[in-house]
Parts: sequence; C-alpha cells; structure tokens
Amino acid sequence: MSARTASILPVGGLVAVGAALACLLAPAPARADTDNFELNGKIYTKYLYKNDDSAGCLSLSNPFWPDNIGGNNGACTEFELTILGRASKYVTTGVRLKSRFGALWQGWWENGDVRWDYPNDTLFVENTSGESLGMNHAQYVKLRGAFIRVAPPIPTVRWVHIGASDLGMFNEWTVGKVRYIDRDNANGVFVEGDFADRTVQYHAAAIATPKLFIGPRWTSGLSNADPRADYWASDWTYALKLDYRPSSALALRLIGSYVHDWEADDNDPDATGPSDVERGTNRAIEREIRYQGANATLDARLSPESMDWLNLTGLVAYSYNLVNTDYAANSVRDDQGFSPLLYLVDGEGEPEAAQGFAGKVRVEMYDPFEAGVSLKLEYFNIGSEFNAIFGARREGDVLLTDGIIGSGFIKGGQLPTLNLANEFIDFDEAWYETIIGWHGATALLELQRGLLAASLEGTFVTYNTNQQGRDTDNQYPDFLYTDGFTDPQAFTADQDYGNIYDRGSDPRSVYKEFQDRQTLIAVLNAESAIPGAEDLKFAVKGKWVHDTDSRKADNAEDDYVGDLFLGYGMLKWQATNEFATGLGYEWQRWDEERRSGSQEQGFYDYATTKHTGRLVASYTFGGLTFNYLLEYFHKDQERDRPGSPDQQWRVWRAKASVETGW
Amino acid sequence: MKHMHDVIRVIGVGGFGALLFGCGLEAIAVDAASEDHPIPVTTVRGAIANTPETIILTRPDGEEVEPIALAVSGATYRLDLPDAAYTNARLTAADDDGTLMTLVPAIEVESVLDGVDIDARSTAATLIVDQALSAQGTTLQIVQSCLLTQAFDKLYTEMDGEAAAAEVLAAVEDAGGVPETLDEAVVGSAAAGVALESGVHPTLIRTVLEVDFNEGRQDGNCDNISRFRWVEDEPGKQMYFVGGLHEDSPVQDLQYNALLGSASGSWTPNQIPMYDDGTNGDEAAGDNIWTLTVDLPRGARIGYKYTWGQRGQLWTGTEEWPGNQRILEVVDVNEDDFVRRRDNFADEATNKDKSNLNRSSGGEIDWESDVNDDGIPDAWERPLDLDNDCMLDMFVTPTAIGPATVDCEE
Repeated sequence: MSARTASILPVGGLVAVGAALACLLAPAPARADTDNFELNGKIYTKYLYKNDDSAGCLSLSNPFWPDNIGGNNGACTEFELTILGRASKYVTTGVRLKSRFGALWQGWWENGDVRWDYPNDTLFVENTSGESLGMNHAQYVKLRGAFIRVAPPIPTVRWVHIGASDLGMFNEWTVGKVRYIDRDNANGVFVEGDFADRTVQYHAAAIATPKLFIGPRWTSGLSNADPRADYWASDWTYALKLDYRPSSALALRLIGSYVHDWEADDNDPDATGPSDVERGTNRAIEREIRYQGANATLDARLSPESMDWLNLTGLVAYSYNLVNTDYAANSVRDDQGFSPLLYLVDGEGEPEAAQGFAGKVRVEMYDPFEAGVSLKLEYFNIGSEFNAIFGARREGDVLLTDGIIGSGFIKGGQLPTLNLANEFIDFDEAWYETIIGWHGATALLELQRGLLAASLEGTFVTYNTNQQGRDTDNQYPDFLYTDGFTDPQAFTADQDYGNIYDRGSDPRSVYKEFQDRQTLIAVLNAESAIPGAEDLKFAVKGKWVHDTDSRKADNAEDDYVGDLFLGYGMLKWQATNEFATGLGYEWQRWDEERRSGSQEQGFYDYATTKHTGRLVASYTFGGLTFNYLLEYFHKDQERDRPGSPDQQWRVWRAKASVETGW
Repeated sequence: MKHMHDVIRVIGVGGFGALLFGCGLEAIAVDAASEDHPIPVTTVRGAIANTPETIILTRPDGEEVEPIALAVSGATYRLDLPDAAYTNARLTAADDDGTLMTLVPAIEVESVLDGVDIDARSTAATLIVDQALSAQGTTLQIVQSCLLTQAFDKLYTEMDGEAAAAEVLAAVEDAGGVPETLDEAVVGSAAAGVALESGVHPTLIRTVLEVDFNEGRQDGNCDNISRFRWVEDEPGKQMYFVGGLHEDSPVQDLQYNALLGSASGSWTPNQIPMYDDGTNGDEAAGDNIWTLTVDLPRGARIGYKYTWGQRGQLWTGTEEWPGNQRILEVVDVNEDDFVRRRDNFADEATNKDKSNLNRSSGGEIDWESDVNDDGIPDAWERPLDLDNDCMLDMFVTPTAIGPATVDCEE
C-alpha cells in the first residue's frame, strides 16, 4: 500500500480497508496447479559395509578408470525432484533435478573444492581441509531427463518426443534400453505414429550418440581415449521401428539402427596450413567416417486363436560394423585385446566390415494338458561376428536359458554384444554375459501346482567362435582373460580389471586363439509357500554346468574340463504387513582341469569352493521402504600352478537403503 | 495368541533395529572376531655367545639397518628387522667383553631365518672372509651369496682341525671377540683357501633394470616426460617393477615369471621393489634412479613396466601408463656379462610395444624395431644417456654388483 493512498482515507476505516486490500494484493497461497504442473520428490539413502578399507557407496565402480565414488564403506544420500508440466493438451514436458550421488555422510565439509598446488601443478598432497574429494562428492544438483512431448496435427504422427529418453522403445539387438545408471542420459528426437488404419505403427529416432561407449575404444571421438579422434559432437544414431499386425494372431516387428561416427579430415587444407585459396582452403573442414555400425532385426510372434496355449516367436538379426583405422586406433592390438569391436582385414590387409547374422526361435506351450505343466523350447544361433554395439549393455536377457553366469543370489542375463557393462553396480546385482557365437537349444519344463512353482532346464551350447589359430592379436578381441568360470561374487573394480586375484574369464571374452568348446547346462528351480504357514516361502535352486574346450587341436595337454555345481536355498518370512525377512545359503564347487595357463607354459588345474550366507530384511510403512542385506562370502581357491599360492576370501558385506517418495 | 503378538512386536522393533544395524555396527561385530596382525618383519634367530644391548645389521655397502626389536634370552637371540630382503649382510654384536660377528648370505622378505649363530667361530670366519675379499679384490656387494655359505662351511670344518683357521679361532676365543691385533700371515693363510669368485654363468646373465624417475627426463621423441600423467603423486610411494616372460620368448619357465612379478600368471603390480639405497645393484643411493637386478636366461624376452606406488597397491594411479608394456630381449650387446637397461619412467616413445608414441614408430615396435636408427634394436640393452641430452652416450658396466656366476656346488 502506498503512503498517498493511506493519506486520503478516514483513519477509522484504515484497518478494515487495509485488511481488505491486504487480502486482495497479497500473493495467493502457494499451491500446486494440478492442472498443468506436477512435482514429485524422492530421497534415497544407501549404506554399504565391507570388511575392507575402501570408502564409497558403490561396490563396483568403473573398472577403467575407477570413479572415486566407488568403494564399500559409507552412507550416501541423493535427492531428486521431478517436474512434469502440461502446456496444453498437446504439449507436455518433464524434467528431473537430481543431486550427484557419492557424498559420504562422514564427509561433513565436502564442497567440491579440490585443492590444487599451483606451483607444482599437482594435487595438494598434504591437504588437511577435509574438502578434497571434488565435485563428484559435492552433491550438486544436475539437470537430467528433460523432455518436451508434443502431439502435432500432422498426418500419421501421434507424438514427437524431444529430449531425454531411456531408449526402451527398440530392442536389445539394435538400440537397447539404457542401463539404470544412465537411465535418462540419452537424448534425441523421437517420432511415433501409425498409418494404414493403425495396422502399421512406427517409431523413428535420431539419437545423439554417447561420446563414451559407442565406437572404437569405447568412444566416438574423445582424444584422450583415442588420440586419432577428437570430434564427437556431431555423431548421431538413427533408428526406426515398424510394427505390423496383419491379424490378431500375428505380430511382426522390424527394427533398424545406424550409427555414424564423424571425424574432421586430418588432411583438409584448412587444418594443415595457412589460409590460401591456392592450397584449397575455404574455411570449411571436411569430414571422414571413423566408424559405421548398422543393426537390424525382424521378429514375429504367432499366437493362434485356436490354440491359446501356444506361442511362437522368432527373430532374425543382422549386424555390420566397419572401423576406419585411419581415424581409430586398433584397440585389439593396442589395448591388450580389450575392444567392443572387431578390426577385421581382408587378404590385402585392408579394413573390412564385421558382419554377422543371429536368430532364435522359441516355442512356448502354456499348460497344454491343463495339468499345470508348461514347456518352452528355444533354438538360438548367434553368428561369430554378430555384435549389437548400441544394444542393451545390461538389465536385459534375450535367451531362455539361465546361462552360465547366473547363480542363486546373483542373477544373470545373456546379451548379444561385446559392449556389456558389469559395472556401476553393487555386489548384490545381476551380471551379464555375451552370447556372441552361441549356438544351441534350451528346453524348459515348468510346473505350477498349488503353492509350488518349479522349473527344470536343459541347455546345450556349442560355439560358432570355435576356431583354430584365430588372430586375437590384431583382429578379434579376447579381453585378455579367457579362461575359467567367471566369479561375479569375487569381482572388484580395480583389482579385477587387472585380474590380480584370478577371478576367471571376462564375461565378454568369446574369441580365443584356439577354441573347440561346448557347454551343458542343467538347472532346477523350485519355489513354494509352506502349507499351513503361508507367511513362509522357500526357494531352492540346483545347477550344473559342464564346460569343455579342447583348445588347440594338436595339443592333448591343454584340454579344459570345467564342472560347476551349485546349490541354493532361501527361506523368506513375511512376518507382518510391514516387515519381511529371509535367510539364505548358497554353495558352489568348481572343478576345473587345465583352467589357466598358456600354450607355451602349460595349463594347470583349479578347484574352487564357495559358501555364501545371506540375511535380508525389509520394512515398508507409510511410503517409506527400508531394505537391509547382510552377506558372508567365503571362497577357497586351490591353484596347482607353480608359483600361484592358494587363495581365500573371508568377506563380510552389507547394504541398506531407505527410500521415500512423495 | 498373546505370545504371537509379542513375537510380532519384537519383530517390528527388530525391523527398526536393523536400521541401526546398517550404521557400521557390522564392523564392530566382525572386528571383534578378527585377529591382530603384527608389523611384518624379517627375523633372524640363533645362538649368541655374548650379551649385547643391540645387534647391528650392516648391508654390503656399509649402511646400518635400524632393528625393530631385539630379544636376547640366555644364549639365544631374536632380531626383528624392517621387512625386506637382505643379501650378504653382516651382524655385529658388541658387549663389554668384546665384539662378535657373522655374515648372513641371504635373508628372504617376510621370513624367519634360524640358525644364524654369533659366536667365536662365526667371528673368526668373518675375519677370514674379510681378508679373502680384500685379497681377491672383490666386495660383499659383488660376491655371490652361495660362495659365502660355502666359505663358512669350509672354514668351520677347518677350525676343527689344525689349519690356520683354527689359529684364528683361538685368537678370537682368547680375546672374547674380535682381537685388537691378528697375525696377518695366519689370517692370510686361512683366507688363501677361500674361493669367492666363480665363472660367469654360461646361460644366465645378470640383468640390471634401472628406471630414472627424475623430473625433466625426455622420451624417445626428446620431449619432456610428464611423470605424473597417469601416476598420482602421493607420499610414501616407491618404485616397483612388474613383468613376465613374453609369449614370444623362447624360454618359458615359470620360475622367471615369479622373479618378475607374475607368479600367478597375471602381472601383480607393486610387489617387486626396486632399490635406490645403494643396495641390490643400485649404484647410488638417493639419485632417484631405481634398480632391480635379476638373472635371466640369455635370449629370453620379457614384457614389463614400472609402477610408482605403495606395496600391494593396485594399478590405478601407480602404473606408467594403462595397458601395454615395455619389451626387452636379454641380449648382451657390449659383451660385459650384463644386460643393463636404463629407462625413463613414463617414456611411451621408446620400447613400449603398442600405442608407442614415438613419431617414427608407427605406433608399435617389435623385437627387430630400431626406431632411433642406432643399429641396436629398441628392445635390447642400450647405452646410457649420461647427461640427459637425449643422446645415448656409452655402455657402462655396472659396478655395484657382479655378473651372474655359475651356481655354487651343493
């Protein structure tokens, strides 16, 4: 209220008028406009414990280089605010503001200031400030997941989505759903719609290619990762999905994707010398292709109406990957065999594309005899050079089989890419293995009767990658560690990047110089509530993997025979509506003849015994969820190799989380 | 039914109790069951004939090692030393009655060595060996450990007879330790039969690997090296070596992998220490040129790299560069019975096999590559650059250690 207004009003009415004006002029009470604005908040706190001396809130960080948020002891909190908006009924928006994860509760003073010793151009060595861990630990809030979604009045177009996406609209063989840690880091423009009376639906996308993980040396042009490349800002991936449903029983889907990695032409006159039209300079830099990748799948699903118990699915896939070694270092050669791509050459030593086909057919018969017995059969054949570079890196599973890597506590999945990501996870999370080259079949018998659900699996796998004298020095990445069952439970980031503690083969290692391998897998699962005590449920699992590899054909002394035996049981109790708990135990025994060594030095036997005990508890109340897991991991590894002492693990570790959203 | 409610109530409390449990209480429970670990030491034990307040271990170059603990009980002693390997060391035990000595050919890292007696016999033998070393123009730094063992065995036998060694023993016994004067002729006579030299080994060659960690060193392109490009500069670090026999090596014997730091088949970083203290073949203490000596078969091919770390530390922040390796073929170019290879730390432009940054290398080298065009393959021993001018000057034969010699007879 202005002073002039007050002066012309009778004093007696000032209070009443003032109160009335105050009501009129004061801002309205804060109130979310539920018509066009929505806020969602979430606080997530995680706690980790392990009987070691590492600090951090992520058991398995980036193996190369380890992110300094990795570690096994500490408590960390993150907060996120999701804002959804509706500009009109045609335009919606969304954005997430999320704090960086990794600040330990114990780091009271952390402000992101890494103290730098300027005279010596290095970190300040004797920094006692306590604020020395850097922005990763400063809990800064980052813009994530921003998108605009519009339904324009354009024929056939239903939605145009601009901005962040998890890329879940395609499939594991082409462009895969982004793993949780990168959930909405992907950005692009997406158009979805339909035509032909909605019998054909389409989804087209132009996706900004991530500068890390797609392309040679896991980059699309980061010079510190590949000195021959330094241009990633104009790299895009294009994808198209077509769904066609000619009848209610049959559904067809075609998906294609294409990755194109540009680099600036090193020999362009503008980049090599002074501006001179006679030299050909024109203030424009030409581009060269560093890498091209294409993937396509055609899959069909048939569910005959007359046989509602029958489901038939099939998929064929194709991949093409070509690396221009003028602009990409050969990481098979230079990085000890760690590469997400092949570097094939023709007879004259010129680069040629790696091309591969893959296919699978699955028959599912759901209780055809109404006896609670179902049968699933799957045939799969993945080409030795098939590779879905932008496919799902984890959190997916394309085969019916339990695979080799999955155990009782640690789940497993199978994916058709060399670009797997068993990292940025905790010790209790699932692991994934590549199926490139797998050729075989699975039969899965399922029983559902009363409280009991059980399944029995048998799988036989031989390998299209079986070959003698494969060039793993220059063309085919072997990921250096090629031998033995992989041990996800014993895996740690830095140590096992270098395989210091002999954790077995890399889950991406499918190419070997000499291989003649085949595998048998048998799995029994059962789960049931206990009659008369339905609050109690048990789950058991038994597994046997028989893995053989004759390796070099003319060397009888190098034949690998590995047997993995697994027994697992878990008892769960839903004690109250809020509180549940469980106790489990897993035993594994690995007998591996001639597991590790070399053609030059011979191969040596390994025997491994593992015991894992786990206690879990959860409490859910009023929008709050608390989970707790305590594990004891006991492993003995006996090694016959001279100079290799036996090893043991006596590891206690725990993980707890509290989460609430509103 | 009432009991059931009580159980459920307890469970509810337990649920919240678990909240607290996830706050470090596991550590209290687990640590309560754990055992204490003493400081790792290298221990020497044996009989002793006097009662010294301290026993001094002296390295071959004369440096005294501060013991961690000494216990003398009756006629025995236990000496705990900083955890390290000791070669051709001297133990000296002095009390009011005199000084006793012995020589210890070899003590392994983190080990307990029994039976190292310090008495008149060991003192007499030490005096005779000292005389023999002098007479033969050699030193404890150079002489092969097993020859010391042989010499002591031989002298102990002679002391039981009437040889000159017995006379030296008598003199020591009379003096209660090292005599103020000794008959030089007698000692010389006893020393005359002590052989401390042996022939050069026909198949093994002493390989002296040195890495220069000084600032301002240059790489194979003559560019200044950034030592800390990949390595974190932290207190308490030292230089380590890690490597193994290369798959191209004509020799594939696991014992050499163990010597080079890959006993288990995988390279294990920060386990094989290098020396910059004037011992174990290191020429000058504190010059930031670190040394490892190892006897390798002639013609063997090895891969290796250096790490700047703390013992047991992992790769990240300690290795010269991620991935790839240096390569060396064990060839004695100047025929001095040594292979001496001095590298500059973090030099990615000399003998790094892949992603080699030498502008003339084409990105990689092999066993025949001679990128600097000096007529010597890059993966062989090479002359030293003595003045850091990026020019290789001359071969220099190591002086702090002798060549590999034939194994002592058992």
